[in-house]
Amino acid sequence: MTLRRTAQSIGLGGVFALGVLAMLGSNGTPETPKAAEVQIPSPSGWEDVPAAATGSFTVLPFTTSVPMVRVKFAAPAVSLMVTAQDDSPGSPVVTIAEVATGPSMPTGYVVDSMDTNPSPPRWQITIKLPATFSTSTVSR
Amino acid sequence: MGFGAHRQFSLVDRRLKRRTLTTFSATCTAVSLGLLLAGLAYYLSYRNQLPAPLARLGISPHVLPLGSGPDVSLGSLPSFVHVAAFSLLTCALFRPSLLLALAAGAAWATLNVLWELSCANHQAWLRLAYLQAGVATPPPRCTYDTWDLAAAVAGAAAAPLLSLCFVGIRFRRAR
Repeated sequence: MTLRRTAQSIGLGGVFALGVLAMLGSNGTPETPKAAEVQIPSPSGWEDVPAAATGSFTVLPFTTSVPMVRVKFAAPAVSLMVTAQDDSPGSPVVTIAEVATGPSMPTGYVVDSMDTNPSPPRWQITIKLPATFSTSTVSR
Repeated sequence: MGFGAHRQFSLVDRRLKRRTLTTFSATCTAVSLGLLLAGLAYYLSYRNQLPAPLARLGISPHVLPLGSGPDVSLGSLPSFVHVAAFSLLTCALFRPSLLLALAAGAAWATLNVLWELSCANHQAWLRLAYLQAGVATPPPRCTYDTWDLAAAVAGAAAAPLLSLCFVGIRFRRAR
């Protein structure tokens, strides 16, 4: 192998390593939703949940049998990632998948609306949490 | 006499080739560095959350005053920049060749598309790969966007286009 070929191989390896690292490093964490508003179902319709001083919302235990949450927020992302976790010791983070809306909505979330006029866009999604969340007495 | 003229011609030809090769490498490197700088400027201007390496350096979001908030229309720019810049950097290591440029563009676009697809469906592929590898820690969160796929494929055109220019110049000079 000539000196030139060796230099080319080293250069190629370097460019490849740099490119892969840049790709892994740049496709970073998703945007955190801002200006969130949370509603929970109540016998009289959807009821606003006041935000705590820390910015979190306490929705458990649910007042209805269906563990559902409606969330409004601002986020620029074109795809959403929804996860849920209660405060029980060792409780796992559950990934909530997007589902089709309907009268018997399965566990998952539905995008009700996305207003692209404001920047970032304003979303409204309805999340049906796993059944275990309705029986939990731990607040979050 | 004829032998001397031939040697002189091949010497000029070799110098011409070397100059073309140097110019090609320099152009590829300069364009790719320009693209990478544009990508960095985008991150420092528009993204609310910076990539981990930049955040670790203590750089705060929107440090460059080019934009106040994230611009959805520019969201796929990093994917374009990544494929275009790294395929050009790959080409900078070799002599101008359309075939090599096509291969480099296709390779970087494939890598980018595969990475983007791994973020789809809430990283189902990545989680499965982690599980198969016996890694308990979940993969770093990433977002999936179909426009990123289109931008990556568009970025693959940069290296062939630049190579085509240089192959054309070399062909005209040879005539």
